[in-house]
Amino acid sequence: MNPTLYLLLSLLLFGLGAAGVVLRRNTLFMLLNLELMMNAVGLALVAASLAGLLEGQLIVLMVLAVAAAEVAIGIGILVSMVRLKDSPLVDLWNREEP
Amino acid sequence: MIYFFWLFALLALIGALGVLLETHPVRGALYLLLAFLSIGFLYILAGAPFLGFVQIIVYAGAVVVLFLVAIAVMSLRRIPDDRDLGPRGFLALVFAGAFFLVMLALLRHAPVPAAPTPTPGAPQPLAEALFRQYLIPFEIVSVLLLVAIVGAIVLVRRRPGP
Repeated sequence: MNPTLYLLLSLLLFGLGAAGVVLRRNTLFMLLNLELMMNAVGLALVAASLAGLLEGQLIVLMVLAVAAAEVAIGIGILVSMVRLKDSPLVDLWNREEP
Repeated sequence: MIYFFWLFALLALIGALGVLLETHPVRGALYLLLAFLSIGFLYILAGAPFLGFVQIIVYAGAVVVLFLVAIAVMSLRRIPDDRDLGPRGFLALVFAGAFFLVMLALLRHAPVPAAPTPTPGAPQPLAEALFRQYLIPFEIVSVLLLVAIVGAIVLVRRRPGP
């Protein structure tokens, strides 16, 4: 299997995820797109391990654990902010309380 | 094999586009599930079956369920169209596109080995490296997970009112 194809796919997924993070204002969707970007990086690292490096797969394992921790904390912050501001839109989070 | 690659690549791209454009949170999470599952199968195709199954269990299982539970807990009554399609969103798309083009140019000049050698994708060499050479990062990551669990509980705990 050609590693270049994997790298191209991972680049496409990362670009779509980055566009999503900057295009969306709903924090939940920003988190979803962040997860997608992390997966794209993992795909690139697995493509590197396709070329004979076992360390690529090990880094993906570490990234996976860090991503699980990040999702838990991120969703905790999101839920408590939605309780506070009653909306998931970042534009409304920016406003000061009257 | 190459047909399976194209199939799962297409499914992953459909999932990514869905996450980018969908406005309903539950459907967005399900598109993300599609992308995660396709990436897991791509790992298996790339000769990393252990990582593929871990990806399906952790990402497609745990992370997506966590998102769905969060959506249910927040119980959003009205779902606004949050896609930023004004000049600010256009500028963001321009920058994302520029980033994509720069990385594409880098990829064209990247040194890719001519004859990829298949790695031992079985769990055993992975475990050998993880528990011998990279034991300390492994332990640090497990402490990080513990901290994250405690932190998440502290963050969403309802404090007793004054």
